Amino acid sequence: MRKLLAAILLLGAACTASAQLSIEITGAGAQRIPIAIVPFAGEGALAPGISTVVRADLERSGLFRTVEVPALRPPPTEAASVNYAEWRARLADALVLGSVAARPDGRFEVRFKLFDTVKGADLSGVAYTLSRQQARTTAHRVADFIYEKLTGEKGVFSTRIAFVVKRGNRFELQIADADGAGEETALASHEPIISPAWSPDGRRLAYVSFENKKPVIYVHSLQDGRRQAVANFKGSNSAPAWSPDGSTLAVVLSVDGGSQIYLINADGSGARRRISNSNSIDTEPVFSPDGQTLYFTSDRGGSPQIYRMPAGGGAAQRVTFEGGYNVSPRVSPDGKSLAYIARNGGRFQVAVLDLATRQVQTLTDSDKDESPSFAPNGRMILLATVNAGRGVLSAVSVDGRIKQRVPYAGGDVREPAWGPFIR
Amino acid sequence: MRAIWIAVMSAALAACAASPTAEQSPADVEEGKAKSAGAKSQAVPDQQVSKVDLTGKGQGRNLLTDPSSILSRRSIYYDYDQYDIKDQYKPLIEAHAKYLRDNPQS
Repeated sequence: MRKLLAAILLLGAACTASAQLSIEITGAGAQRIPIAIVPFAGEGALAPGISTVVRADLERSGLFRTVEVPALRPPPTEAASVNYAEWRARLADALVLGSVAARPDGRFEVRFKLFDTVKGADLSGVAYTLSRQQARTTAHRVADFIYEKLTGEKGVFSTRIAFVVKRGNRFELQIADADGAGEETALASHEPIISPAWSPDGRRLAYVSFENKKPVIYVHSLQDGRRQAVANFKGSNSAPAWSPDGSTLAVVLSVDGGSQIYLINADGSGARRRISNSNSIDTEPVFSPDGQTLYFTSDRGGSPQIYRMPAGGGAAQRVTFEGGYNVSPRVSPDGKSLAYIARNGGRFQVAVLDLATRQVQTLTDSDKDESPSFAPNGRMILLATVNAGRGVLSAVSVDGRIKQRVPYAGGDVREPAWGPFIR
Repeated sequence: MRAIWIAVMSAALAACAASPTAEQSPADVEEGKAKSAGAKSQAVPDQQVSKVDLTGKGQGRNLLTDPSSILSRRSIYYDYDQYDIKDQYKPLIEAHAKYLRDNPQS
């Protein structure tokens, strides 16, 4: 009997070990919700197992701690009645039960339910039909549902990220799940690809490609691979940013001399409209979520700093004052704060500025950070940094407490951009 | 041994099955039932990415100048007073012939 119990405990330990991720939570008062995610009945039919991905997603968010679940025979499904006291005794505040069933048409059905063991309440669940290849996507949706029910804010596990990988003389623009897995190549080229920017609907990317030996801005439709050169003027065409309605791109052109900010139609039609007018370099424009304001980087004051101006053009106001080098602004989804790269004593780090209080907080302790971008729920910031001479992706929570390294094998990873919510 | 274990587990499961009515308020039970009965499956949308590859033949790099391309080589040596193409140069000639056939404008 004892031997059997030991074997079962070992089995449980093995399960949690395989779900371990490179996550590091720093700072005090990290409150994590203890949750028991029971392996879904029949999930062996899908690889990876749904519960494994859900567990990894929730753990990685830094807001959940998964509770060890003993091997239950037969595995309970979402239809089972729950002994809340038993799960409370295992110190789980929430419980997830689910099942996977093969359908006669070759597709699968995943059902699950979330329970609040403290209140003894059924928090409902969802059923999904999916193809075998969509196991991971489905698991991210399950994790989003749980995250939203228990934290009150939308989850971002089913959103996607774009980044550029350099392998030898080959550059690849890749699209992956928010956890860095399941990557697909959207574009492969022998010339650099930089500055990918997601359209607000998540279907297209604007980026700069050097495939014609000079920087040209393309808009690329992900599903069918259709590409259009939307800014190919004399000189350089760089730093595209989408307006919130998806109709307009703010771009940086050197067609009239120095690098200045222009607006163009996202479908490439019509004429360019110049909106910045300075004798300095104005670059890296980005729209505020309401579309009324453009934040951008300029060296008009002698050192690169972040400024803002009305999106239709007009007088610019300086936004950053701390430090001699602040670049690459990104506005939070609620429009209340600004993430950017600040140079602190020779180290390039991600900082966040509260636009109301003007308080600045440095979030990272790395030293070659670049390309910050907010998760669509505003909770995390994705960035590229350098580790052991190689570009890697990393993410940090907006309060700086949770830091993640997004594991990615093979190649030098740069220029990440976090995509919008999937509708 | 196995029999004991099964007995223990089924007892535990029976306990699970018995207790929730005591734990849940009637409203919760009703809600749970209604939801599981009415739960319709949502189809997970397809988010496929189609790949555009510019690294293939002739794209993104100049085949005639890229040192890793056979077409970057142009020299063919003959033996003294001979016009036979030596075997080692035949792939080079064929590569250039194919390039000219495939690119009539070049």
